[in-house]
Parts: sequence; structure tokens; C-alpha cells
Amino acid sequence: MPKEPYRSSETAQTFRQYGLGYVELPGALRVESRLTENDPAKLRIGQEMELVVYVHRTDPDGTDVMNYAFQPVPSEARK
Amino acid sequence: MRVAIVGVGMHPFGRTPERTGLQQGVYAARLALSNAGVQWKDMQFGYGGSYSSGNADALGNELGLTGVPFTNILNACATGGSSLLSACKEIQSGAAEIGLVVGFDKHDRGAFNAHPSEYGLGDWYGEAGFMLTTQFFAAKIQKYMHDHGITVDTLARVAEKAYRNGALNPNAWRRTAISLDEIKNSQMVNDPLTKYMFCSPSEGGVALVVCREDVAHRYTDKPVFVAAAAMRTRVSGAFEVYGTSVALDDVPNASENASKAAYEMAGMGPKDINVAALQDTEAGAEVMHMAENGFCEHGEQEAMLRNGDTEISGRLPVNTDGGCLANGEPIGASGLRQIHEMVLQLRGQAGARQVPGNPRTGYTHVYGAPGISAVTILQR
Repeated sequence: MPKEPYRSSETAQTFRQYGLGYVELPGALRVESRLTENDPAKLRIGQEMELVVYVHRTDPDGTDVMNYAFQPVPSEARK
Repeated sequence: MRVAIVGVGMHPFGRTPERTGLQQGVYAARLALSNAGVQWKDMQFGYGGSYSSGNADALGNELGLTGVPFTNILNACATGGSSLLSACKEIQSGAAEIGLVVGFDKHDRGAFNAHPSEYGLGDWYGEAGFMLTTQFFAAKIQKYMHDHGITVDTLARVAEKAYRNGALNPNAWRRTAISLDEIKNSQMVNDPLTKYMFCSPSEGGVALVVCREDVAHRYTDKPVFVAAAAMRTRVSGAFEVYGTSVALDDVPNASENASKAAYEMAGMGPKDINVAALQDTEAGAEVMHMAENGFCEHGEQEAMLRNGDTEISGRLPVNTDGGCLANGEPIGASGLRQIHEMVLQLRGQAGARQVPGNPRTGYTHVYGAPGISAVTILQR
């Protein structure tokens, strides 16, 4: 698991490796983002992605801290 | 008027539990002074820095508190380059004739864990897991491999060369050759980069004695001249480490801009360079930096590595001392290590790793967070 400043609710036992990429927002820029898919074999440059919001961690007071990520668009949903 | 490097000294890189980072800097400074045949009290200025081991001017506690104007430099991976650049300006302004440039560091094991606020970024950036330089390097080489047909074998060849060259360098940390297969099959850190394709934070110190060109003969019969020293920071939209986004258009990055400035300053081009040190934080970085510094077209690295063009015996030797991969990266000392190696190569004092044919020109390049690069061109 990454050292601080990484901050999640994970422990060394529950840490799940995450994907990371730069996602093109057409006509704007490419934004650095976590990817929900962490298997390099299932990621390729140019594939369609969509935005999701997920609970990154839950603070001790019960507050859910949200973050953005991108996930591959399921093949049946593609135009 | 050019500036001459007339003395060099280095504390071996790696792990030295019995010495602090500062003591490794003092060790290097003493060697550099002795190499130039001068004393600390002769120094008219000092520039130097470390990232994790305190203020460089504290070496006066061991060398002597002479009242010398000493400026501490902290400029990430460009700390050494910025120190040399400042020293050159000090001499070229006429303010001083001779001085010391020094860099040292001692880092803990494992990846650097910088805080986003040090880079003007929100805490969220670190909390979400973006403050990891390994991810940037992996993403950049992934795209580069996709766009320019570079294979994993080429990345492994870069690392294999680094450890092979490191084995020839008594000051290197990793001095054992590692096979291509072992490199490729070592633990995956950030796809496609495996453990042995990455350098690690380490320890070490390097110092230079620099002086005005016209007095260099007093100190050495083998002066090495600074033909160019340039440093650049990132521009908006370029693909840089700790950047939250990248422009859709290709924007020249800090390395490309520093390189261009250095060639212009020296009145030279890539074809004039005999030996080069390029930032190899990981194996892919060396590949990309070959093109970003003008030594080839994008994609040509595949054939160049296969043909051995960047070996010590090749047409453009790269990272003859093993680079960051075999030396690790003590931030404050890393850029000066490259310059130290070039001085040895141009003097013909590089021992078992000496580039044949009496090289006349050397090139050094560093790149680091958050998109900063320093380039020097040296000649004899």
C-alpha cells in the first residue's frame, strides 16, 4: 500500500491495487484519474471510459469521502 | 567566458550507515578540493544543496567556518544543475574567481512520499493516490510504447546496460550484472515497469571546484569547460510528473526545453556530443530522454538498444557510470554525479568504463518533480 500522503480506509491486508490513467475529455484535456479496472490486460489506450464517483474512504465520524474515477464502458453500452 | 571544472570528488553512492548525508558531502568536498590542489579557505563562494540531509552550508562546521558566502540550493532533481548554474553566473558576473559546488543526500528506503502542499496541490491529490512518481513514469512510457513501437525488451536492455556499467564503477551502489530475463521477470511495480527497471532513493555526495576559464591552468592540466548549463520548469499543458492533467496538443516538456536552450548556448547540436548521462529514474525514462534530448527520432531507440549504440563502446554511450539505476538517487547529489562522470570521461580517467576514442564533449540531463529539468554540456 502506498505510504502517506495516501489516505484510504484500507489496510495492508485489504489494499487493492488500483489502475491509473489519463482520460481524454474530448475538446478539453486529458485528466489524471484512478481507473476502476486494475488489470493491465483489460485496459488499452483509446478505449472508451466513463466517469464514476466512489467512496474513497470513510472517516472515523462516519463521513464518506468521495473521489472520482473512470471505468471502462461495458461493450453492450457502446454506440 | 566559460567556466572550468578543475576538481571533482565523490562519496560512493548506496548505503553508508556510518555517515550522515552531510558527512558524505564533506567527504566529497574534501576530495574535490584536493583534486584541484586547493583548500577550503581558498573558496570565494559555495553553492549546494540536499533534499533530506539539511543545509549544505553546514559542511562549514567540518571544513571550517571561513565566512564564505554559501548559498543553499533546493531545486528537486535539478538541485545539482541549479547549483552549477548559479556558480557559473557568479563567476561570469566577475564577482568571484573560484568556488565550490556540492550536493549530497541520504534518503530512507522506499519511494519518496512528497506532500502535495509542497507543490501547490490540494491534499486530495495525495490522499487519492496520485503522489507516486512511479505511476507517472509508467503512464508516460505506456503511451510512448504505444505511439512509437518500443517493446518491453528495450526497457529491459536499458536496465541490463545500467547494471553492467555499474559493475565497472567502484562508486556505484549496484555493482552486479542482472540478466534480461531476471529484469523482465522481477516484481511488477507499475506496469510495464518491474522492480529492476526502477532506481531507488539512496545516499551519496558529489562536489566540484569551478573557476574562471583563464585561471584553470593553475589547478589542473585537464580542465573541463562548461559550454552550457540550462534549467527549465514546466509549461502549461505539458505531460509532467505531479500534473493533474495534460493538454490534447503536444506541448514540449521541461526536458525538451532545457535541452534546446543548452544546445543554443553551447552552439552545438546532438551530433557534436560524444557521451551522455540521461535521467534514468526508470528504464523507460532513458529511452524517452534519448529522443527528448535530440539524440534520435522517437522510436529509433528500439533499434539503437538492440544494436548496442548506447553501450560504452557504442556510437553514443549513455549512462556509462550505471546512471540512477545502478547508483540510486540521492536527490541533491544525483545531477552532480552525472557531471562528475563526464569530467572523468573527458579527462580519460574513467578506468574500466572509459569511453574509447578520447571523447571531447559530454552531455548531462536530469528530470524531476514537478516538471523540472537541468542540462549541461561539457567539453575539454
